[in-house]
Amino acid sequence: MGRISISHTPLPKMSYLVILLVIAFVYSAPLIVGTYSASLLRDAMLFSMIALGLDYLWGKTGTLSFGHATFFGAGAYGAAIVSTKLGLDPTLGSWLGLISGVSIAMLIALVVGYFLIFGGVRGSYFTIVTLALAVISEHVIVGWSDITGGDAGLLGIPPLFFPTLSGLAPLSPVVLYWFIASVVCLTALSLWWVCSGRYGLILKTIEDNEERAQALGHNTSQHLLTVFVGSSAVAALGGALYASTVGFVAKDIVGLILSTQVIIWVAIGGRGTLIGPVIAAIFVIWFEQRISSINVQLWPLFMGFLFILAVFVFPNGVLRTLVGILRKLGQRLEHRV
Amino acid sequence: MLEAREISAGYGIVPVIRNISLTVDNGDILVLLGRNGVGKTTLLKSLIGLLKPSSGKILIDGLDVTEWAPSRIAKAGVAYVPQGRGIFPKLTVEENLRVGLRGRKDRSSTIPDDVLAMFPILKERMNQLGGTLSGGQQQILALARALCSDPSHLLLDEPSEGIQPSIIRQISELLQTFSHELDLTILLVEQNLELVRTTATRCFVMEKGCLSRELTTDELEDDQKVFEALAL
Repeated sequence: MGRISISHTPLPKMSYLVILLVIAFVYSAPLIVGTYSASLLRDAMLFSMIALGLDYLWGKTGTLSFGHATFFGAGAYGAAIVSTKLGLDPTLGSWLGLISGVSIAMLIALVVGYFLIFGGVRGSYFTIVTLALAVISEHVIVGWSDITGGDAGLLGIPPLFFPTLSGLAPLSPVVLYWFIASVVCLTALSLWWVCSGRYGLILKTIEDNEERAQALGHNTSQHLLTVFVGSSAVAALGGALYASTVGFVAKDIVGLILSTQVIIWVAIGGRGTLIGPVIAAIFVIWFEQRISSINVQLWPLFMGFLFILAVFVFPNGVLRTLVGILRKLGQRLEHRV
Repeated sequence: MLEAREISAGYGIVPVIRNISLTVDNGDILVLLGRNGVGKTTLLKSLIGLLKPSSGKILIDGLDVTEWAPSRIAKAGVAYVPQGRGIFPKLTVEENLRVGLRGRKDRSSTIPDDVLAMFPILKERMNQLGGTLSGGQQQILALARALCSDPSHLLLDEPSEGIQPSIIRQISELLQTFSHELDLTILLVEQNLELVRTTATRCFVMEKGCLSRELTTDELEDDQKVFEALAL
């Protein structure tokens, strides 16, 4: 692939302020909301990595994957299997698991993506094949129980060990929270930075009209494959971190239901904004916990309601709608002054 | 020099063009005339790799590019202005031009000043969305974008379609400038006789997927001869 120069259009000053405020809130959350809520927030952030990955693919190139939970699951199960089944020392095994989990997911994405993308599969056909991928992965997890634990899942995944003053040790819950928050923020910011340059333009042209982009000299299949593998890597990183953080994996982190939920998170947050889906994922998961603690059956009802709301009231996502309202308010204030 | 040697192409099992041989020499503005549905666009698409020919060869400056991907052909110096303008409506004028830089051999990432100088109307509208330009302006943008890749060959598919006479005249002048000053080898598919007459150095008529005859520039001036060739 050729060298891609990245030059960036500056954001309005307001957005930097908003980004800073969000980051400040995320980091101070464990001190404000308490450890239990912070652990929910931490898990929600890990799930939001799937939304981030999917938005990199769907929001930037217009290619919808209905199987992105597969890569989260591959990351998580890869990490779990490598760190528990190979008899490795947990201090080493946890990190090796993380790396293997992400690599396995990327390899799956590379193989599946290569044949789909270079085979000319696009649009809804692509979506349907990835949907099949989600179904297949669910069956593999349940059926291959020697390795994956089947319905019972895998337990006893070691946490990540970090060097401390008293040797290698897992992080305390608050520090672990900060570590995960940093990984999520850094991944989101780097994706956003990469996509705000000329590279983002190229992806947009592919979404707009792939043939034209080809005629201008862009190797669109290669770009799409890179994005597909990259977006899977982001989801897998979330999954691998999830495995080592929570300590167990079960079949609900792969498959169709989670894949569908991710699509709803991205739609609510605003496709193509990258940060919107992350915020939406965290918010929706938090909301799910609250509603489900009242009555478990209420949640699907709310989820459906949220989705309908997203389609009719915020077709561009909550984030863009909010930014639009803020901008209008700002203009009005300027007029008065 | 762009050369097609006995190429046939089509969609699925439906053949559209059959055994077409054509050479566009350096400095030529070669025009393909023909009614709707005779395969003009299909021929252009095969030449730039968007449609793989079922048989035959395509050569650019003597190099066989038949099996090349469209992006590689574009980088080899072939620019294409598709029918219906083909700009990216959601990108600004400037962004449209910037995505056109990919084909450049020098890998520069800035829009060349001489391109901008040639299109003052775009310079005023750099931050406007492509989709908000008028039809004529979009066509000019498509031409400018093609130049951004610093091509040696330019293929145009009916640039006059749906455009007012004054802009067609402007396009005609631009094509002559491209040919004379930038040494571009141009293949123009067109139905507008005024644009054909003012630009063509050679002209072929296409009929039912084949080249049926060549019209000299003198014959082009004669309405009767042209209509006869087109079987109108």
